[in-house]
Amino acid sequence: MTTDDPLEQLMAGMAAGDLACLWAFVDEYGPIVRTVVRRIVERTGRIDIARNPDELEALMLDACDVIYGRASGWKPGGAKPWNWAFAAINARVGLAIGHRTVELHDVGSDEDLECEAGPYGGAVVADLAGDDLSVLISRHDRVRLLDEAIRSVGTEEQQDIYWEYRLQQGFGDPSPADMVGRRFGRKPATIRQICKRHGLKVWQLIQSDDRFIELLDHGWFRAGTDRSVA
Amino acid sequence: MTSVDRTGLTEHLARRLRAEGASHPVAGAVALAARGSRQLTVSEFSTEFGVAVDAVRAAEAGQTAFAELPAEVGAVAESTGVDLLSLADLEQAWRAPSSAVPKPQALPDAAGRPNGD
Repeated sequence: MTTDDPLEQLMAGMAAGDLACLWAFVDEYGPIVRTVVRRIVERTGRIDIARNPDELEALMLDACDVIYGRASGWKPGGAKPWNWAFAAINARVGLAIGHRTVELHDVGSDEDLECEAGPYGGAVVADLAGDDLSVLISRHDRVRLLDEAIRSVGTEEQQDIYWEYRLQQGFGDPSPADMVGRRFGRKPATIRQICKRHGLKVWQLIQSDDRFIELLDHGWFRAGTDRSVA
Repeated sequence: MTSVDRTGLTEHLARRLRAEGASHPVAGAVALAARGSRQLTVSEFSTEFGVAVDAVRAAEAGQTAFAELPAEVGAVAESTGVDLLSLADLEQAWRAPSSAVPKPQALPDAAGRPNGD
């Protein structure tokens, strides 16, 4: 072994087809993978499975098999394996339990809106139309986590611009960069650049820091591109 | 976070070995659990526990019967909390004539008629 990092050692062993390394990987990192799987299951609306420890354990083992099968493609120092293989894990879970069955909540519903996310962050952001961001942060764990991630990178101005841009987008503004640009005294093109770069930094943070594991499937960042900033 | 059920994990590996056609999949999985729990290479495990490399490899490949596993392997696996009795039951159940790995069924042909034997 050429590395002291236990995760890298296990991934190298799995890449070589060593099943003992798979056993060790699951034993060590299975609980983290289980969190990823639980989040995926919750998003399908199958709360019955998400709350069933046996079913969740079986799905976690499947997810670890996915990582094992792809271990040779993982690069040390990059995203954690469960983040790196998220799309494949998501597909495997979808295959096992079926696809999403729950519709997006209506805007203004009294139900807890944090459980769904559409292309722009979903109902939580839509809820911003009738609420203040700080209230949402105090009300929704997911928004609080999102705020923490956004506030963990870049300058304060970049963070404010990013949030403002996303809020405008959530309101349905077709040209959010124009409005945010006027507010911050910047050109729209500059606003878009700032948001694109800031979104990328936030995405990299989400991939590398397990505190933000629940944001891996967030519509703003998923697939590694800040696709809605254009 | 709740830790992983190590017996269940070992059983998972046993199912994998069984699907690959190993003669003694549960014993193989126990051997893998033993080395996996210590995070050692085959040669490191062999040196540390005084079991020949070939014996380790054969056990992990599911070529060694449960009762013939090197005692050190079983002891290491058991020390990790793996329930050997429950796994031995599983091996016994799998060895019963009625529990052979199900043969894949042939797909029906275009007309929907059963195909193959």
